[in-house]
Amino acid sequence: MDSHLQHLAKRVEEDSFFLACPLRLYATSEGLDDEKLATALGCSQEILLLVRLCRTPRAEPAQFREDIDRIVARFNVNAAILREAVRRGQSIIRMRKKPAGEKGTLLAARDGQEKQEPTDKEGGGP
Amino acid sequence: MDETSNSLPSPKEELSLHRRLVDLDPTAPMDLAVTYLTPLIDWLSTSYKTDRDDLRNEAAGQAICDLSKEPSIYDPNRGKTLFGFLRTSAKRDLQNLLAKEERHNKNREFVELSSIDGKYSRGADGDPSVAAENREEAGIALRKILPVVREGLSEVEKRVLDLILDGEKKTSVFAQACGISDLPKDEQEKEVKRLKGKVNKRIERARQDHG
Repeated sequence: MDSHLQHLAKRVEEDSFFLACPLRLYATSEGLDDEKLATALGCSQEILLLVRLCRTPRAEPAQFREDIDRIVARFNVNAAILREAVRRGQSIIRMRKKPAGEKGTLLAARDGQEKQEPTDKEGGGP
Repeated sequence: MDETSNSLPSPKEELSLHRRLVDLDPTAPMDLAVTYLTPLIDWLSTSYKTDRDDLRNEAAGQAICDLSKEPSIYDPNRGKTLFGFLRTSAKRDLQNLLAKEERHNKNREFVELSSIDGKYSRGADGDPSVAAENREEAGIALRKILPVVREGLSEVEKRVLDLILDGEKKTSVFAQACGISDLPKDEQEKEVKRLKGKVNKRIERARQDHG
C-alpha cells in the first residue's frame, strides 16, 4: 500500500470532511480493526484506504443516498454497512459538537436518521 | 518532477478532475490524492531542500486537503495547471511549517530543567524568574539529551514529549494529540497519565545517563 496515502488517510481521521473520520468512529464503536472493517465492508484493505480518502457523504437524505451510491459504484463495497458506518460516525461527531446538557444522544440521532432513510437496498459487496 | 511527466494527467483530465471536485463527487478527493500526493512530495523533495520528510508530507497533504475542501481556490482560466497550483500551495505550506518549526525550536532553547520537581517546563524569554545563565544551561542540557529521549519513542509519545516541552497542561490537548479524544474522559485521563509518565521517566533516565 502507498505509504504516503496511508499517512494522509491517518491524518484526516480527525477531519469530518473525509470518510476516514466517520469510518474510524464507527470502527472504534464496533471494536473493529482495519482488517475487520474491510471485511465488514466487503473489500480489501487497499480499497478501504481509498474509501477513507473520499469525501464524507452530504447529510441531506437525497444527497446522502447519491453520495453513498457513487462510492459503492466505484469500490463495490457493502452499501448497507457503509451507510450505517457513516451515519453512526456522523452521529458521534454531532454529539461531540453539542454543548453539554443539550438534547441528543447517539440512539436518538440514529432513530431520527432511520426515519429519514428509505428501506435499504443491499450492498454491492461480496 | 516535470509537469509534463507521463504519470500526471493531461490538461483535459485535470479539468475533468477539478470539475468533479466542484460538483462534489465524493470520490474526487480520493482521486486527487492518488494522482498528486506522491508527485507533490517528490517535487518538494527535489526543489525544496530540507531533511524534514514529515513536514514535506504534511505540506503536500495539506495542499490536497485544501483543494478538496474548496475547489474554487483553483481557477483553470488563469492558465496554471492543477499540478502547478498544487505545487505552489504545497511549497507555501512547507515554508509556513518550517517557519513554525523554527519558532518552536527557538522557544525550546529556553526550556528549563527544574531541579526541584524533575520536570521540564518552558521558561519564557525575558522572564525575570529565569536567570539568563540558567536558561542557557538548561538549553544546553536539553539539546544534549533530547535526541536520546526521542530515540525509541513512538510517534504518539513524541507528540506527548513536545507538549510537555511546550508546558501544556490540559489533558484534552494531550488526548487530541494522541488521537484518543473519542474515548471517555476517565479513559483519556488514564491514558494521558500513562504516556506522560512514560515520557517523563525517559527524560529522567536520559538526564541521569547523559545530562
